[in-house]
Amino acid sequence: MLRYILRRVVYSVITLLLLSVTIFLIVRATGDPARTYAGPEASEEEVALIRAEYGLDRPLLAQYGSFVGDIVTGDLGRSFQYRQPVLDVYLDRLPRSLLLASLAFTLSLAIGIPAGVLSAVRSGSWAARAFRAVALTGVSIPNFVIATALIFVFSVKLGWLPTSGSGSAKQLVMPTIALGWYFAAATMRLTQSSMLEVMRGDYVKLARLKGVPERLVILKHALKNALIPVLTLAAVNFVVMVNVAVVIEQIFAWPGIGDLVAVGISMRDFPLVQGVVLMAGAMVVTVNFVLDVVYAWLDPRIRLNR
Amino acid sequence: MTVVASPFDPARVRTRTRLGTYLRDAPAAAVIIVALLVLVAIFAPWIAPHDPLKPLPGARINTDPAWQTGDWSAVLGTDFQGRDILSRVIHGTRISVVVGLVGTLVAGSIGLAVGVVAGYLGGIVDQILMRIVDAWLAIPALIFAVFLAMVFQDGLGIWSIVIILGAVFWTRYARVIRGEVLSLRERDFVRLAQVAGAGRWRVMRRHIVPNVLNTWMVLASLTVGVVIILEASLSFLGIGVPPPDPAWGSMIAEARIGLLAGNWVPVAAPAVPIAATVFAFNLLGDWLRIRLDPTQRNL
Repeated sequence: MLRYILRRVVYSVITLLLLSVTIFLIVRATGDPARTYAGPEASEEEVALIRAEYGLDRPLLAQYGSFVGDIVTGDLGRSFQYRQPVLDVYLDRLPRSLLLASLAFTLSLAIGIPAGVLSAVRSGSWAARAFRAVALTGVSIPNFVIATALIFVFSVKLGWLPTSGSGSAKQLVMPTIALGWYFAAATMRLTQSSMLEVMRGDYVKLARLKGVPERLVILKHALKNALIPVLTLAAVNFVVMVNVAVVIEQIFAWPGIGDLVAVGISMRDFPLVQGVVLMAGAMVVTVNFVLDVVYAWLDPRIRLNR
Repeated sequence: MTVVASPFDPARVRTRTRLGTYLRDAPAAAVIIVALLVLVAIFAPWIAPHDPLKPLPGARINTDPAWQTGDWSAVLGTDFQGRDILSRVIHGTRISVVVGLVGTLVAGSIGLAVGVVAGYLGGIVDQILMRIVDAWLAIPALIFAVFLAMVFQDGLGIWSIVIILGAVFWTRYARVIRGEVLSLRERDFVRLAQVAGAGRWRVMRRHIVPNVLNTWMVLASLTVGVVIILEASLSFLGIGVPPPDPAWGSMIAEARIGLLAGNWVPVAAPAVPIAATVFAFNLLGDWLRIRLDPTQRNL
């Protein structure tokens, strides 16, 4: 087990390093990273200032060294817009994003898993068919369309909910639905196909032959195993929801990390966007590492196999 | 107890597949929508009643649709610059279809090449390529696309979006196809080709690639929808297809303010085609997935 964990640590570190190399090289792919950092409207003096401050006239390897050094010590650069270190701004926004993402995450699992199980178990029924149609529609409608439709119905027409902002519970309703919608549909689709896969397994047949009640076969034998890919997807999706609710947070003026990215885009605040990319990437790698270890702990086949 | 259908009776086998009976007729709907889209995209200049980029002569801005005003020269009304919304939606089809299909093709080609090479050669090449794939996969698609769009600011217009989407999505193909190649590599026909003296590139080209094309097709058809949504999101955020080109995403962004005053038509006009397009491609993808490869259900 320890060997397995060590190997996963090495893999994760390599992945993180390659991630930093990727970001580093992409920024320099245009030939003038100082211009990228400063934005298209910056004057020549400003660009020159940035070039000197970041040491962008030094050899590439030296630049990469300080790039990684800075990241490791928590220095993600300074935001032009907020005139603060990017990490501070990020951490400042994190709780709000975590709140919204947790709600959307809960909603998506609470709807997605039961609906997925039902449509797998009763695959011929009209309810299952309706669920599948709704799920397919769900993954087909972009979240900003859902968001605008929600605003039109519940704010403009019915006047039940405020269009945007933060502070009250009412203001969380529409962003949660708009953000969770896609993931609920995706969770349902994955749960369904995973359940169907698992239900063909020998141990499910055996359980049935033993005379285990069908309800228990589904919940205890099949669902437990079917949930593994679902929870893997969900864990990564949670990170995605925290960092990438850009459109939703902008529409509902929810001051989270997604809104930060939207500000970064409109103000051409490049260090801000780069910081969020690095944080999101690092979080995904970490979550994947934790999942690998948890699965290996739960299932000896995984750690002995590789 | 279920009765096992005879494998020689295609109709029976098909009804017993997962999505069951409703998909049996569904591809027709998807095919019709997709065909319609492609036709509209090709013939946009002939179908559209007006120029999508220029204001209607003498027209006011933000006018209501024809069924409210009675003025049928602008069926869906005009936008904030007095341009005909219907014509813009029609021309927007071109952008979505081109970006969706070409973006998918670019991503798919890179992914196919990397996946086949990594899976077949194995060893250190595989290790390096797959770690790179891991690293790229770790960055969520939207933020990655935003980042790339900010680096390559308005370099090539619509084509830079295509390249960005290719860069974001190739990893998904590479991962899946590499897995497929790992098992293909051990199969007898590959071994025989090697024994017969075929070089590694020839084996990959003639024996491996044709056998992963089914999987590739399924992945591709399921990616088109995601790619179109991502392009629309970028355009919505103002870093996709640059104005004044009529991308559906940016049209929604422009019409959003009017929504608060109750003007839903300018938002719905581009929103409905986006949803219909993505829906059609997803439907097609689901259907292909089941027809071509029953084991690929978890994607």
